[in-house]
Amino acid sequence: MSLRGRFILSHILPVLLIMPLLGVVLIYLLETQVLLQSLSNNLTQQAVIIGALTNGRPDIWSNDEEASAFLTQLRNQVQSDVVLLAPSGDELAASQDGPDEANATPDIQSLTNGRRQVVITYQLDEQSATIFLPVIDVNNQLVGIVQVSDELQSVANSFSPLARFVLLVMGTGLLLSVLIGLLLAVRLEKPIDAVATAVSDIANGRRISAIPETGSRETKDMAHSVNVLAARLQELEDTRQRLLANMVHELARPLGALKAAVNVLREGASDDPALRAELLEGMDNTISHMEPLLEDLARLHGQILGNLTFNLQEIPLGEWLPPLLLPWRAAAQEKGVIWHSDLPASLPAVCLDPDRMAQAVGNLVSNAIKYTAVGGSVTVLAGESANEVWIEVADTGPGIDQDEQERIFEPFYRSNRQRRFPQGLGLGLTIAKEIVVGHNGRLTLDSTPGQGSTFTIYLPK
Amino acid sequence: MAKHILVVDDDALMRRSISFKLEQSGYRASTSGSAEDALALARRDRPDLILLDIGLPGMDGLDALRQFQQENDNVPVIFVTARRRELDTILGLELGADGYITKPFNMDVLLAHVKSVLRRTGNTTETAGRPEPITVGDLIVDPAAHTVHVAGRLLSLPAREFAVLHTLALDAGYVVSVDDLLNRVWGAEFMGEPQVVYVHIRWLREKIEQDPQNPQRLLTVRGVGYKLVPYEIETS
Repeated sequence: MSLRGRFILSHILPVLLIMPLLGVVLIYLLETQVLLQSLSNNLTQQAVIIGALTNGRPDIWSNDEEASAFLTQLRNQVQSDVVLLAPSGDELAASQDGPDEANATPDIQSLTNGRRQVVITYQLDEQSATIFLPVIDVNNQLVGIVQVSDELQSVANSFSPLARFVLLVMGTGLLLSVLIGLLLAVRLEKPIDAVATAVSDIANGRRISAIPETGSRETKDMAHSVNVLAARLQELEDTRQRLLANMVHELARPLGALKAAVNVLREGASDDPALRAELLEGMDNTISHMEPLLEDLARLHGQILGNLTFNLQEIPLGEWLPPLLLPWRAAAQEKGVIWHSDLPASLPAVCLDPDRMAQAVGNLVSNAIKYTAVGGSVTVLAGESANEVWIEVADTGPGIDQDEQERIFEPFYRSNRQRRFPQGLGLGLTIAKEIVVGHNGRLTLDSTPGQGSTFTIYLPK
Repeated sequence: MAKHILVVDDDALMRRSISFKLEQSGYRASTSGSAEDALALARRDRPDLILLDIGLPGMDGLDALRQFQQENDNVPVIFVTARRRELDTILGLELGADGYITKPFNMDVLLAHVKSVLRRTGNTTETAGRPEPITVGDLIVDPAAHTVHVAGRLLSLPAREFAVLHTLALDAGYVVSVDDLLNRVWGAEFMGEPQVVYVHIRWLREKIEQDPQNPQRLLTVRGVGYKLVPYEIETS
């Protein structure tokens, strides 16, 4: 059963169940408490009037014909069934031909004592009231009994327009509750449907746009959660896509050059010794450039999946840093980037893994040189505070936007400010950060877009 | 005349291999390591075809493609790149080159591409874009006729000297560095000493200057490079 069906049912079910029940109870109460009561009051008054009319005509109670004549006189004024009974309870005369129901029998004893008697019959097929009124003479003797009875039928008939009205109200109520149920169901169904469609789209690997967060609090929360989930999945998918594209590019580039070189060496280039030497050297360089790629991929397994072990040693920073930076200085100058460095020889010894930390520093410096334009500068500084030593790498590159400063450390993340076709895998900063954090240090970034970036490694003393 | 093919790639090994193969196949090959150098070179020596990498230092290949097509009357361009169109979302949308070859590739395939693109575009490039003569003061450089006039006097210059003068004339009034001259005239594969530039400048001065020791047209900007400035001999 669909949600809509259930919802409508749950809306109309109470109406369907309660309204008829309520109707029956109300009709019962109306009939017994109000209608029959007023009927019996009415009949009692009639009986009293008829009793009064019999006063002074004692012959009525002894002569059947007199009694019939009396009732014939009354017929025009009284619609109820009137029966005159002798004190014994025997019928003298009846306004209706033939005795109808003999279900009401007078209690002669109590009538003799002058008490009137009301008999109300309430059955499924018949609702009626019967009044027995004793007629007492001056000697306080019971001379006869006036029986007046009527069925409720005629009264209920007068209520039928009212009943139609009640039915109309009930029907309208039912229709309204169906409509309201439908409306509510549709409004509930919409966001749930949207979420269900979105989830199935995600499961099928389709890209979804954010679903609107509308409806009740629960559906809003659900839509929000699905949106967050979808965004996260999309991000993972994008990262995977980027990694794949990067990897293919990083492999295809050197392979392309090597293949081209081998091609021409085979087809005549090896006849020229100078050209052959040049090509071979180029091939050697290309292969050497592939090694860091391999290194990055190996680290990708070791580091991004956890499991970092360090070979910690006491390293005097003042002696360790300058030779480490020499090749970078040469690389910067070769590119035409101005190199500054100030590395005090007095820097203290710190417990670190020299190979890993060299990689972290190298990644930062390599990035700084890569993103600084010719004529810009790269500055490497180091120093110490009360309980930390720091190594700072500053460049005059394009800088990193505020909202990207966290993300830049994510694996494979590429800054929007970067070139359309960046080189490398996009792992340098991720690896640097993991190494520094693995040494209980921290790696901070301070950048003003358009002015440059400063990365600082802080290590505990 | 041999078709002129310009190879633009930041990988020296790739440039060297492609240019060797092209020359072996009877083409004239020039090389550039960046889009900027390639554009400057193409301004002076119009290529019949450009083999263009996409990931380049500085301007990237897509921007370079548009520049080339604007400046060189839709010169045919073949992308030679390690990027896969099916993996790179940017590439999927923005192409407009006459061919696309992914690295690694077979040289013969590259050559077949080159031949077919040249055949397809051969007729149009033949007539298109005859370069206008450049006038710098009383110096007129006519690339189409390969002639130079100084103060109305016709000079005959060897190809390399003409190329240097032409390069400077294209940027008349601006300094061109020795590196840029090397890249734009000798190409990215030049392995010799940068002094070769100075030697050619000296030879040029002997032909176009009144007093080669005291140049008025081809000036040295110390520590930066050379520039060609307009100069009129006062005819008193």
